Amino acid sequence: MTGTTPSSADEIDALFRGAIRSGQLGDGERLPTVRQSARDVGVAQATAAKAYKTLERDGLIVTRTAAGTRVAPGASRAPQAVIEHARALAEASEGALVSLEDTIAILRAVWRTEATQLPV
Amino acid sequence: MLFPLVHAIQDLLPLEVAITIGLILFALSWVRPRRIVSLPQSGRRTATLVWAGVAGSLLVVVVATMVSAIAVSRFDASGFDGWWRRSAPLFAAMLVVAATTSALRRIPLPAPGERMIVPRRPWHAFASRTLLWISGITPTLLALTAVWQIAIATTAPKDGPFFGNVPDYTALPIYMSFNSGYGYLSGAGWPNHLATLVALALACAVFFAVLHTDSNRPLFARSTASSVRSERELTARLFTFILLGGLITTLGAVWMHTGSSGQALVGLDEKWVSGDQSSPRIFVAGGYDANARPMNLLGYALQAGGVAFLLRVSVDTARAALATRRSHAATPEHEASTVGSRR
Repeated sequence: MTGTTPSSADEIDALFRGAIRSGQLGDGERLPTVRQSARDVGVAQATAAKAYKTLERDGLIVTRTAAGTRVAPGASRAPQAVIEHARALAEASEGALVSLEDTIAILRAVWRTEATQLPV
Repeated sequence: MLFPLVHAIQDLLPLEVAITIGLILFALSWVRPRRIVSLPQSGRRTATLVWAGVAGSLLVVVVATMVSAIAVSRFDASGFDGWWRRSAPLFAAMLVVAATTSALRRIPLPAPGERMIVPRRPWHAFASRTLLWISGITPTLLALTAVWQIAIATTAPKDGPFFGNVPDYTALPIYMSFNSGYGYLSGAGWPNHLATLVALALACAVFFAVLHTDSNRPLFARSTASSVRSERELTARLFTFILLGGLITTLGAVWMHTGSSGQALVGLDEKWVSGDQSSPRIFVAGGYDANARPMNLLGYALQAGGVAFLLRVSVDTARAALATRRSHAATPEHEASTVGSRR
């Protein structure tokens, strides 16, 4: 959450929409509770709940009583497993002081190697 | 000259006192000198974790030593005097973890709007799977033992035949039937084991709550992913270690007690005094006599193992703190300020 602090339901909606569309949150991943999101952003719970309702109406998130609120299937750029692996890669690279550029280059090289090996 | 010295040491530190064999196992643990505890390189939680690791672990050791020393020095007059003593190390470990979490909660959170959007994580997100398995087996054994001992307990008539260490009569169900109602042995039942179950339930609740809270603690938007994972993993590891130490020590104390209670024998002996003269021998044992001795011995080993483990956690936390301080001293100030987590 960088830049200006969102204060309205529309702004919170846009914030989460961006996080889902960009792949910051993967398909099936559980969102923070309404109360937690309200605390994180510094707004009333009703405002955060309104934003969640809009996201749900637009099919970006699904709410189930037992499972909580999760990113809807197909709403994000990739499923939860891929996003989790991407996070693990980012953490490992940062830990080993490998730059973002080098990490992307490695990923491209690995991707290409895997892609060329597949047809064989 | 040697025997009086050994006896003097035995009088001072009986084998039943947790620290006696614990110190021996602790000394043996240095066969593998590698540290088992690491600390975050920077961040506000490091100092709190050092306190928890060094002083908290030692506190559990002191509690375990004191309660086991009390158990050795006093006769169990009621038949359930030890109800609080066996669960005390686990209770102390739980308090240490709860107090540390409370201290960690005082660390200021990022201001609203400066927090990163992250998914809601499960309680075990930063805990080691292997440690969780070990931590799962230990409380299961403890719960099974306590439930079994409560299940086999019964009340006894005031004028019934009592064996073993016979305490003052009580109408509470602290007795187990000896040889299908032939007599009664004390040491079982809810008066002896309910506190252990309560301490175990509380410890599990605290463990889940603490890990869940820390997994979902708001992140500073500009914090680095690796530093956050590292500090949360190390925190979860230390908490698991402290609780595991308390659990193992309590499991040991419970098994020592259960094994000791089950070993009572009533015997009519045929003892050969010469080649052709003997006196008759008939032995009547308790319901789990075959398991009682190994259980008792394993109890000694587990109680001492728990204490040795906690001593090792304490020393290794101090070593980790020294290593962190040395690495900070070796790192130039301008680099130190840019490396590591923000929170």
